[in-house]
Amino acid sequence: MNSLTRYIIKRILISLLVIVLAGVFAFCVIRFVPGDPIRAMIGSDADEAAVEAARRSLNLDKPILTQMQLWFGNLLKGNLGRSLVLNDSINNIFAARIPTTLSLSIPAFTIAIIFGIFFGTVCATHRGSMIDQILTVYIAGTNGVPIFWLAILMMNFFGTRLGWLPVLGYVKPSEDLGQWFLHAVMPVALISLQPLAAVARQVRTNMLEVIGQDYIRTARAYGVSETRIKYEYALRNALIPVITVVALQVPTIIGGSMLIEVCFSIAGMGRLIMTSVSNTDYLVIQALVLFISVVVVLCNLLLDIVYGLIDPRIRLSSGGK
Amino acid sequence: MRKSKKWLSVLTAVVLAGSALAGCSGGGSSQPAQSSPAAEDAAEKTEEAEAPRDILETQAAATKGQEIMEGGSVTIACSTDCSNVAAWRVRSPYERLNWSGIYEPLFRMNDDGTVKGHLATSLDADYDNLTYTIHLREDVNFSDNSPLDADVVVWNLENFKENSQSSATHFSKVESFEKVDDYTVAIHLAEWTSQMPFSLADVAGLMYSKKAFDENGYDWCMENPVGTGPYVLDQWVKDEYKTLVRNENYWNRDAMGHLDSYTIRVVADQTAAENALKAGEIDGYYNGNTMFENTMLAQGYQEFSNTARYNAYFIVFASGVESSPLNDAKVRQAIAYAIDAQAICDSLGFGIDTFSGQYAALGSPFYVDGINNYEYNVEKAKELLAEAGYPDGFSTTIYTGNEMHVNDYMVVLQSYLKDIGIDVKLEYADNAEWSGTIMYEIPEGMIFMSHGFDNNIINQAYSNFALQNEGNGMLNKCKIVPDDMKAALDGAMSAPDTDTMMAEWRTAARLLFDDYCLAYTIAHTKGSRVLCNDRIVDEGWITTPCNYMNFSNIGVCK
Repeated sequence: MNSLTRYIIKRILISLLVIVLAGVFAFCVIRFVPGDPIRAMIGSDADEAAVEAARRSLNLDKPILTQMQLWFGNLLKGNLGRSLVLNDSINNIFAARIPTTLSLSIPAFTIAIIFGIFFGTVCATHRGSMIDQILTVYIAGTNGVPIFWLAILMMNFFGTRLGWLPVLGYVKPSEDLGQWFLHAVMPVALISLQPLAAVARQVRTNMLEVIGQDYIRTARAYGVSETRIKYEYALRNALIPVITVVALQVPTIIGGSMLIEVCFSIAGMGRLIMTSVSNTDYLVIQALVLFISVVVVLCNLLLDIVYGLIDPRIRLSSGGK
Repeated sequence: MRKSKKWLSVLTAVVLAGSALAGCSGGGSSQPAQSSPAAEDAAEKTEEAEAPRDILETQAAATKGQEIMEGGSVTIACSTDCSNVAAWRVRSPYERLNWSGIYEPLFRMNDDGTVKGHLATSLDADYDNLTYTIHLREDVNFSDNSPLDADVVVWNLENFKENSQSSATHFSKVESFEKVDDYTVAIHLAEWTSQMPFSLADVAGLMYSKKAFDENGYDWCMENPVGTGPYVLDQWVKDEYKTLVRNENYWNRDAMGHLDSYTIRVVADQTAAENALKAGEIDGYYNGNTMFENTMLAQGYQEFSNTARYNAYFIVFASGVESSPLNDAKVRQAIAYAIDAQAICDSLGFGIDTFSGQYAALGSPFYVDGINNYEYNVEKAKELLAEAGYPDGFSTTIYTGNEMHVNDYMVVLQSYLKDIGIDVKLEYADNAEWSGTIMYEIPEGMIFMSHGFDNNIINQAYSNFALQNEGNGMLNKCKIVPDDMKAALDGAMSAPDTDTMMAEWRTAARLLFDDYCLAYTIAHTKGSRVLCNDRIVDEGWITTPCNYMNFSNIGVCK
């Protein structure tokens, strides 16, 4: 077994352990919340008989260890449970919403990476110029501006005043690609803002560091073109640490999509997080905590594998031969 | 270059400052926020209270008198989707909005608090035999063409009793349901209740197709509404929108809906709703908060509100401790006098809320004339406190559930009571704990809460003030239940006819809100209202005394 394979297997096993621990955490943390979750879910005016029936239907009348056993048993069968508030299987709820969120998050993520790398490179290669100054202001400003405030401004300007873009809702790309694009422009732009700034800042910093290295000076001395030096020598080496930053934008995009989906009334996973917390829909919250943990763990696993592929020093130092 | 750097530095500073200001505003937190300027304003008002306003006063409709166009469609938005679909599961105002075009009740309310037939023709009350008899129309069918007859009604009522989350509220005294003949149903009671007509005019009287149930099963019915109403569900994207289209099989051809279709859209954020209204993407927004209502009314939008349903903000006094000052009626009355409820309505309620001092709002058939509503009078409050033996005041606690919109009220109450020497500690219970807290855990103090009322007000008052350690009764450790008040509430609940019921209720209300001052209502806000653009014409769609909309009576103006 070569070092890369050993490295990947080790990372996968660690990730599985983290997912199991995340599941235990998700299960336990909900049960430490004070108050009666059933009354919180079905309403304080519900009859006592209805409350007890709901409690039995969710196995909440059983001992904690039995509940955990049942939940993990169902998880292994792919059953996330049922939401009393939404009156639907959590599997169905997720299945309906994940594609919506992905159709916004993936474009946002892609835009953030592409334009983040581009802006960062431009800033680094035109250091001190007007364009560097402008982009630096944008990067700094984006981090401080609340995304929901920008959403309201954009909604008001592009939607209400100009009438260029719809204010609310979502259309699946499979139904009407043109309408999907119109509905997705503002949400995708807003979700991508902060990750784009983070990537751009990191690329700029790394590029400036790499450009100052001896081998870059040597390449120039050998007559290599400036364009090739920037994009073949400098950028490739500058991107290795950027991979970490890119992976760290996944939680940012999840958080961004929460606010944006509420603002634009898009029924995705982000809005599900908000509504399940405000409705104290404990079982959905439990499933969401696990889901988000799995997404983050998988992104980190992917990151580790990419690192191992790109840089042999990393997989060798992790115990490979 | 130096000049451009300077300008860019200034620009950066402006952007960051603007971000900091924007970031510091709005948002919610789990901890109670500091009081708002409106709350401070309310606390400072000392002017004479105006005469109480009728809650039925609504914004004059821009489209009043306009002719309705046949056809067309409207989009009404609300903040949340509904999860309950089957008729026997409908409870919340949002579920009523969503399904009132599909399900119809057996009876509807009149302005004077009596019921009139809708799917039924009449309701006979036989006090001696503990029986209500429903006489059904013989021409009603569901959208799947199955008829509404006695078998179907009995099945619906039994289903509601068995499976509804509010079964005990409506059918706790019911022993059985019986088919008398094809179009007559008898409800046999274990104990008489005067509230059955109101229940049958509300969610307990909604009818679902038994044929659909028999063919498709319980789980299918929980996802698919099949009723007798003028509309049927065409499309539903959960948590986004649902579209309802005209029911071509509607039994009441004289009351076919004007609209070809309507859409209920979910818009959680009220700023987004405001933008959507202005952009024309929605025609109305249901149950926005008072601030939203005030903003949109000021911009010329119109409001339609239900005349049966309102939310009340009120204080209930609790005293399970013998030495508690709240045991003394004079102390409770002093507290009521010390609160300028009209100022609170004018500031926190933006002048839209109204004040009556009792559970029923002015204009409700259950409002009782002549009850002292404790108009703001600090000197009177101090005088009563001194008579009760507390000239220097005392300390107490106000409990409430931890919701943002009540925080301003709590702070204002604290401020008013401080003026008469009462030190109030504010206790916020987490939402998940609030039910348990309010029912079993408060030993002494006051609770502040908001609650929706409609034509079940007697039932609600009975549950709040007469029941103790029974089911959903509140303040079970510390309720003050004077014998004469309980007797009047018992009398209202078990009255053989409407006149007796109202007479007993008037006695109970006087004792409850006036003589004993066990509760004090600070504000009423309309519980079911829609802010609309000027396309919509309401001829009794939401402006109805029934806590259930009638989608036959809404249209688009020509």
